Amino acid sequence: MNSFSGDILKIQNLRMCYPTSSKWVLDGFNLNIRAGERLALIGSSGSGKSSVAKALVQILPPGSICKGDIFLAGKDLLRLQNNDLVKLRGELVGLVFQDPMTRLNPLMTIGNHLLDTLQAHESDKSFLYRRNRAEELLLKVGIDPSRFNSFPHQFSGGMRQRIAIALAIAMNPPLIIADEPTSSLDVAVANQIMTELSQLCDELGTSLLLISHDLALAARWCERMAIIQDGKIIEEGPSRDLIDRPLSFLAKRLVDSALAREAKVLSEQPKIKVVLEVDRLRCWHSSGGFPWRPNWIKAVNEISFSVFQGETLGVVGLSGCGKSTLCRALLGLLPIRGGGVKLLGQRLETLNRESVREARKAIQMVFQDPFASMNPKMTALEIIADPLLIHNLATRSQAKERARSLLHQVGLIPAEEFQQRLPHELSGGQQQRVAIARALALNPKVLICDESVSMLDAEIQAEVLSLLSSLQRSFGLAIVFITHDLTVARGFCHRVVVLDNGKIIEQGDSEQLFHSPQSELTKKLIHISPSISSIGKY
Amino acid sequence: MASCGVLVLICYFIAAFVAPLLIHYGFLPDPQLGLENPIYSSPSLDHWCGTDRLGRDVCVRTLVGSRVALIVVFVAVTLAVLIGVPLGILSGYLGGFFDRAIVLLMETLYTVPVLLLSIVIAFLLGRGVFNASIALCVVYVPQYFRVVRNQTVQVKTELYIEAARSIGAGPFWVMRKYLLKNVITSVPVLLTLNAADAVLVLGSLGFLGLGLPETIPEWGSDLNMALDAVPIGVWWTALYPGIAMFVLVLALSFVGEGLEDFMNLKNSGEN
Repeated sequence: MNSFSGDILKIQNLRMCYPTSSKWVLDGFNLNIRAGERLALIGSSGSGKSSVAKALVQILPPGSICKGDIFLAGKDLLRLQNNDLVKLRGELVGLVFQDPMTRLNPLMTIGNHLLDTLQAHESDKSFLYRRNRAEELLLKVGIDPSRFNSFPHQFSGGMRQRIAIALAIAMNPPLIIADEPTSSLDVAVANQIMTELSQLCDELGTSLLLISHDLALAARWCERMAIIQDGKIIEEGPSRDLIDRPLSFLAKRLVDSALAREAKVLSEQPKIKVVLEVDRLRCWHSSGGFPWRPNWIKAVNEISFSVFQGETLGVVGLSGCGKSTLCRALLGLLPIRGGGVKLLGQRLETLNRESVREARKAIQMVFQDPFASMNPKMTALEIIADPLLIHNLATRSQAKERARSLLHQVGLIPAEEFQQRLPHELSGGQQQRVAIARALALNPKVLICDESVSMLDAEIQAEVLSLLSSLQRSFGLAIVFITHDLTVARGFCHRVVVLDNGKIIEQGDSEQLFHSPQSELTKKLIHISPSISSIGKY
Repeated sequence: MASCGVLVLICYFIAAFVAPLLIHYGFLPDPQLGLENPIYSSPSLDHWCGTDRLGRDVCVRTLVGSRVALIVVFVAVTLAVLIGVPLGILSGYLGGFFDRAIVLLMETLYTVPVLLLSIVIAFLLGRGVFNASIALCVVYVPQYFRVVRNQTVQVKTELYIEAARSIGAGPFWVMRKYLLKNVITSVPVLLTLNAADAVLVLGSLGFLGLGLPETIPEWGSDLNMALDAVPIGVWWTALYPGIAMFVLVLALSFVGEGLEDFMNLKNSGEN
């Protein structure tokens, strides 16, 4: 247990500026955290929330200016000598980053990571003590100590994040800073990680500063919230009050968009025409075994469903359940090992190669990571025009004209401003809009969205979802919406299919499925999805 | 440094262009003409860099030599890029047996020392500007191939390649529109560094009496001829072609290094 009482962290009038810019990233930032308290710092991207974490452990790039007072457990951080600072990192603050893989040394075993940290701070203790302590830490975060000598790449994302937590709590610091700790993980794992992190914090009496863009997640795990904009705290208060009665403009907007994300954006659609019919589809890969009796990995096993014109079908499941394999198989990127796909009345498996390519124009996909799905050397206009050129549907100038009108349709207005930009010159939401425009270029009848909003800020998620549903209405699109987030699926999908281990375990109208889930997995998924409407008065 | 390199290169290009013209209009003596001149005359106002053992003007020969050096190096490196880059993309993207076969061939070529390989090929093909270019090009194809193939193997797992395939792009479309621009980023650097290397190899071929015909003035063969006279104190026949070659290689290396820095800067700027 930590012996501090009162305020663990006290930041007063903090001003901070990076060496290359003249703008104050943090400008008059004030924040207090009491011992054992869990506080969430919420803000859109670019609001300076990660800079707070960096300023707190003083890992700013050299030449940065940092003024004001930071008192951490009674010590004034900005007036510490370099040696004391090194002690501070780890002993007074533990840091958990967003992407654990890039923060762990791929050539070091996880055990050595822990030993290294322990040695840096407790070099006077014996090796045996440190070794025992490292194993104890692994046990604490739920990792089998027999994996002491495993390397980071041998762990899944969730496990790596646990290791990062073990490293952060190694010295029992009075404060842990978690910077978007779960945004690269799926809901179930995120839930586990957050549960463990908050349990550990309670157990050790540690305070937690959770930095996030997700209001629902923050409200679920933290008792107090602070909203940051332009380097200043603009609103602060108990989570529940803040969600029920947001005062500032930004807070209102955040709460509204978090609600919009979960809100029902669908109009009832008559089920007239089936556009996509999947009949007992199998996608098996062989892994070893004898040639006449291979060991099959059944990523997708006998899945049947159909999608009507203008309808949204949600495909929900945890990572590894076969969602991604399913959409790659539908797009023809992976071989199908049995079963059939019927697109607009045509059975794809009976067609020859060229006709399949023709037929597949009617089915397009929007990927999870918009930036990675676009050629970094092509401008927005070229990206959108490319499908038309591939299929020889238009001349170069016609394709460009069409691409411009598509840019307009996905809300990138004026098109002239965006058309010449390269992907890295667009924001995340804009990138996803370009990706949607590209998918629409061939006038598809079916749009597959593979986790298409999960990498975006909550605010932008709501925007993209409403764009998708308005496009659905104007084009009569059928959307197959693949997600792990039931909260989103509930509002956005007419029907939902729940996948587990490559099989459909439950399907039905989304509202009905949400109210009376049948299978254990569905119940669990509903329970763990952070939802703002279940927290506040709504 | 890089700008110095570029400046020197421009001087060489000017020399390569202007010297033959000046000779044609009679402002400079013919580099092959030696009979009326004294042999081994030391540098003077008549012959700025002296004459060689056949009485030919060293200064003119050195100037004209830059022309053939630049042509051969340019043709050789261009050919190597034109062969190596597409082959690398094809092999990297298609993979499988084709990839393995080509990689085996290229790695085998790569293990043979540069000079040895080019000597053998130059010997087989006989003398000539184009033949010398081919002899050099064969040496450099594997380098481009390796760089581009490895880059391709890395890039082809990127999501945007899969996205391109999902909108219906065939393999050749993917290679042309999606891979090419993303894998040739390191080629310009390799190109200038190879060009520097090629100048040296061409010189070595000439020194050994291979490569170019005797009627074309060339630094390597001039150096060879100068070798006999060095012990008797005739330094000018060796010095000037040697300096010309040295400065050209230095300039190309500077440009190469400059380009590399520029590329790194650009890449880090993008990320």
